[in-house]
Amino acid sequence: MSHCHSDVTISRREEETRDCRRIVGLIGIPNSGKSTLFNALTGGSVRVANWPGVTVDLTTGRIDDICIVDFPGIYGLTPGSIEERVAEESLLRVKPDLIAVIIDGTAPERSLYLLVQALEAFNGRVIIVVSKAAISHGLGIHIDYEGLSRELGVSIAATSVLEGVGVDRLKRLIKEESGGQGLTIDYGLLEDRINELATRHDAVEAARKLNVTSRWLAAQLVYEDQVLEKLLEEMGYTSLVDVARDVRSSIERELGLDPSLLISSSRLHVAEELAKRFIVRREPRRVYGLIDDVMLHPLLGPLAGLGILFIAFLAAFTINTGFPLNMILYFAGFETAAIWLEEHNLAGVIEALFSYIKLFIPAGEGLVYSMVEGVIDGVGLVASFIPLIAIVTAFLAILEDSGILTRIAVSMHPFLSKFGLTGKSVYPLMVAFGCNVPAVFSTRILLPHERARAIASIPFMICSARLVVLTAFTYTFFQGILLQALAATSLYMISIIASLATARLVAYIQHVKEGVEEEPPLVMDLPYMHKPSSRVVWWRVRGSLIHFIKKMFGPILVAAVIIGILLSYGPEGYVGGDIDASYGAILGSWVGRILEPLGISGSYEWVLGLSLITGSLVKEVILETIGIAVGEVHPVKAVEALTLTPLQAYAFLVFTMLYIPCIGTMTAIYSESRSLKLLALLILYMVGVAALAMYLIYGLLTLVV
Amino acid sequence: MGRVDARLVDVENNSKVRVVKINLPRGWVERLASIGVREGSVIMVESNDRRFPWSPIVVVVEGVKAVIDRRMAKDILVEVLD
Repeated sequence: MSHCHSDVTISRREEETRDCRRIVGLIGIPNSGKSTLFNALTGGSVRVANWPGVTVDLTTGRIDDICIVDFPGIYGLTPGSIEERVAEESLLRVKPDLIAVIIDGTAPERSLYLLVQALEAFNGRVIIVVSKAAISHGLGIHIDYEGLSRELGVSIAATSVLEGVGVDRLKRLIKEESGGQGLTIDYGLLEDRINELATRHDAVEAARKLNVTSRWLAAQLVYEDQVLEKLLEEMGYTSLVDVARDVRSSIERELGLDPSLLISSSRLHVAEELAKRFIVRREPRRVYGLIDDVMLHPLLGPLAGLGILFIAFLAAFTINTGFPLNMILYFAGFETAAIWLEEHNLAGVIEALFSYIKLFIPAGEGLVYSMVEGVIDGVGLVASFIPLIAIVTAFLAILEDSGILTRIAVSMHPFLSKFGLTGKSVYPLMVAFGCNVPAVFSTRILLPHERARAIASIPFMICSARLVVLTAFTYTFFQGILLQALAATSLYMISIIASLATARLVAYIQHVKEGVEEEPPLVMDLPYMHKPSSRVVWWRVRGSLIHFIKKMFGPILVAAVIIGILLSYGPEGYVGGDIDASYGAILGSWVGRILEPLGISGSYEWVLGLSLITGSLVKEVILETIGIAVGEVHPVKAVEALTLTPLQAYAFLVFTMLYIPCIGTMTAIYSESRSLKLLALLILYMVGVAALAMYLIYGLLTLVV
Repeated sequence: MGRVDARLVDVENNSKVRVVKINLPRGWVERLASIGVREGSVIMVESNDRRFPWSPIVVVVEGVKAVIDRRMAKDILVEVLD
């Protein structure tokens, strides 16, 4: 099959379609089971691909020489929200040879509006895939597959991935099927005008280039589909777009009706007729039970949601790092148990392994030696994140697959919507308290605009690494548990305020620039609750790990090597362990000037400055750097040697908690946004906020205390 | 247009209503349609706790539960069936 098009602006990029005999697109409404089907079809061959002109990454997989593209969830091909615009545009640009429309078997009526439009648009290139067919049956929903297939003239595969039902048939259809007949919708009062537009020479030609029907193209133009208008203008069909605008104005003038409402009503009518004829429901039964009574309660819901997330968070981070259970054990007086936990967690084991590996490197000096050390540190750093990413993703998958995450999102939405986030953001924000890196990855459950808001706010959250620094400083410089607790709690409050205010600021910018709602409203289905599947969990974990390793390994390694060299070399050449003569110390002294307004200067100014630089690798290294520089191994004694006043220590902590994220988080942000500009802006913004907060709080406290 | 008895936001718990008119921008009309709420559809209002203005309205449409933001429910006019 040929993929050549005369118009280069809309042709597929060669590398994405190389060796693809055909391209099959999966489309469906959110929560329709599309991604689960995609994983079942493509197995391990998944990759995230950037398609030409498409502003979002599309997950792409293969079945032999057939490329499968998983498009973002959409409710219809008539773009309402910004996200749907992005989805429609990518569909029109990629131009799949076959479109598989996923119908959620547990709520089939919901997907028919999308199906009707797909049949109208992609004449003869559509197959229907019913997902969750087994559960659907259990819910008393019966779909007349044969009748629906005969009526629409398209093939249908009823699938139930977890039971392995229907996947082979679907693969066969994907390999062999070329689609069936299309669908012509009667637009009533608009019929003549749409027909006239659809038969224009330029409309026929544009439709052929976009691989859609000219009738759908005409109806969309009358509907005022801005995505299509933009694309057609880009392709040089400005006069067609202008004529369609005139047609639309004349309809509004002559009939006094909004044509878009007439078009969507006609399509909805067809969808409703299909539902009436081919879907039968027994009396709905109560399947949600007590869980919904609690989770959807206005007061109990948020408490239950936070409780579930806290337990998931506690388990994930305790297995991996011992935190925060080790802190709880300390405060409860079980110091031995806390120490045991710190030494016998996954991160501890990995750290011990890499320290052991380093023992085999013969002592030496020079560039190669520094680089080898840096490489081992970098590999160790990446490896230490792997169990955490896997565990956090697994918990997220369990919550999502079971249907609980949707209910948590509903319960948390009223609070988070004030900051431009939906309830779904609560999971990444909670994860950020443990580690910002998996938190950035877990924003994938969000739609693009909200995702940008969440990603910008996550690095302000105090992760477990920053907590180590916070604990050492508050323990050293504040007398008594009350003052220590007050200092720690206030720092958490400052970070949460900075985080949520940032989300709101990004929402405001998006509102001004793109007209996106600042406080997103909540409309969503509550998917059927069921026992999570271990296979689905494994698919998610595998996908997440592959993505993490592929995207993070290189940048982290390079950063570790650069920092290693900066600390090993100075103007006099190789300095070995004599850090104060290194380039790192020179840089530290330069960065340390930011602390001068706090009255911190002299011999320890460069130490704190250097610790801020090395802290960009991993935050705990702040204490290690101070320890090496002042010649004290124990972190509390090392911090004590800095002889800061409590106010200076507190102000320094404010800066440390808010300034740039660690290299892992920075790489995660870059890999998810693919924009160095955005990352640079975020770093500058964070440093600015951190400095402002530090000076302001120091100034205020100086007046009060 | 059928008889308008109330706005969805004012309907009592466990009421069965028919949607008469949706006065929302078209993108949101379609978003509501995706959960089965459109003009003419019959929905069961399972929970509408007006004591808590932040809570969404929980409805059952075609046997499936869904939530609708209270801000949107203000612009959905309904006929109360029972």
